Amino acid sequence: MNNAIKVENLCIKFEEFGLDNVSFKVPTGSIVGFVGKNGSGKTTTIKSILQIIKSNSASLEIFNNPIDFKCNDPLLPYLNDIGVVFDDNHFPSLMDISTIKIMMSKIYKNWDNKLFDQLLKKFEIFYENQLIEKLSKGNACKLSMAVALAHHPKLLILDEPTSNLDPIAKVEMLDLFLDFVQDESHSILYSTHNTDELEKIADYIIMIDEGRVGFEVAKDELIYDYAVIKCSFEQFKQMDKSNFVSVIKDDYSVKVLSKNKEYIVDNFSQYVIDTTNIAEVMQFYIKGEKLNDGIII
Amino acid sequence: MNIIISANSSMPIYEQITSQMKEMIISNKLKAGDNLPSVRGLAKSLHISIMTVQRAYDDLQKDCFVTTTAGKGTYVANINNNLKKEENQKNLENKVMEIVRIAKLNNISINELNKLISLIYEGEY
Repeated sequence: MNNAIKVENLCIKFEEFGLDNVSFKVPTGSIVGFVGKNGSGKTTTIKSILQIIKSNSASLEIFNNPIDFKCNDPLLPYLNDIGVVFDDNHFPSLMDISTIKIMMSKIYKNWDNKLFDQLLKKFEIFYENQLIEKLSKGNACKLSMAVALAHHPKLLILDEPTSNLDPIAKVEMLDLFLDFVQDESHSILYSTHNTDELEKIADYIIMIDEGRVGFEVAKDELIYDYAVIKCSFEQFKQMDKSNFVSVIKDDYSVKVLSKNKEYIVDNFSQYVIDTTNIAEVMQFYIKGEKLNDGIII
Repeated sequence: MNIIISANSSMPIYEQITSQMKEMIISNKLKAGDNLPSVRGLAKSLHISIMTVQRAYDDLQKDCFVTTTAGKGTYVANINNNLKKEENQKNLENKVMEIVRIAKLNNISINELNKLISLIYEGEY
């Protein structure tokens, strides 16, 4: 299978925090959701893929090409094909939009002025001479998105791009993302806290916790093959726990996560059985008591 | 063609797609040779992930309702009456299974159940 990104054994050591053997893939043509608590290592991972933070111990492939970290600027040949959006504004605050447009057209080989104008019009940003510092947070984010798309990338790397957008603009962005992957050679790595958006559009989910990959799973598997049993403490004590992976005990009930919904439905039909979602599986992973091998995925 | 997806249904989204498409094919609203929307196009329109649509199309193909030609897309297959019959039979079996499950749960005997079905079938209920 072709991968837009393949990271293996990414390690970074800071004083109080680090990445510990982070490995995952972004298969070509797919949308991969990247989730985790604040400070879990999402942005650090993205920045080290982009070589903004240097790491020497990883093996990294971009568009199936191994990246040689010993080079001066190892990612340079691929930057034309990668669009990046961070959550905060990275453009000089005293520049206006038309200057940014000129600047970008000199930087990117495939820069498309017409597409850039179209996107800004679509986003209802009409003032070409408006200074960046005057833009609302939402509009600054839309501008970053327009810049990322207007150089016709094959891969979008998005770090919480929709966190400042209103609900209508969020849906418009989802449309743009799905538009982007209409081309089978396009892929998206999408870091966000909006797990409900990922439940709609993502193909795979990667969860990172304390600098480690907690789980990497096909979204449909999580939604359709996982199940949560809700029961009392006494009932839980008597259950056969071989198909359970994690348990959360509340004041009044016990919640159990299983990866084998079919088995659960066949054997525990007397209990409340719910489907689950990304946020809940994260809870089970981070807060839950692990059962059996303790590995959720 | 209309496809209506419920986010609150207990039926998985890929099953909602397959069951609605099968219904359209059986009722001839979609005819043999008709082109289905592309996987990516349908995912975009329905605001769902590509893999979910892919799973639906794979299931439709497995059940012989559509054929996929690499590079050309997915077409409604020539389905014969047997397939329609089989599909109806399968639907019926699923419903009966549900009925039997409820009956067993409530300790209703097979005789009682048969009697009830006969009554309803003969139109006396």
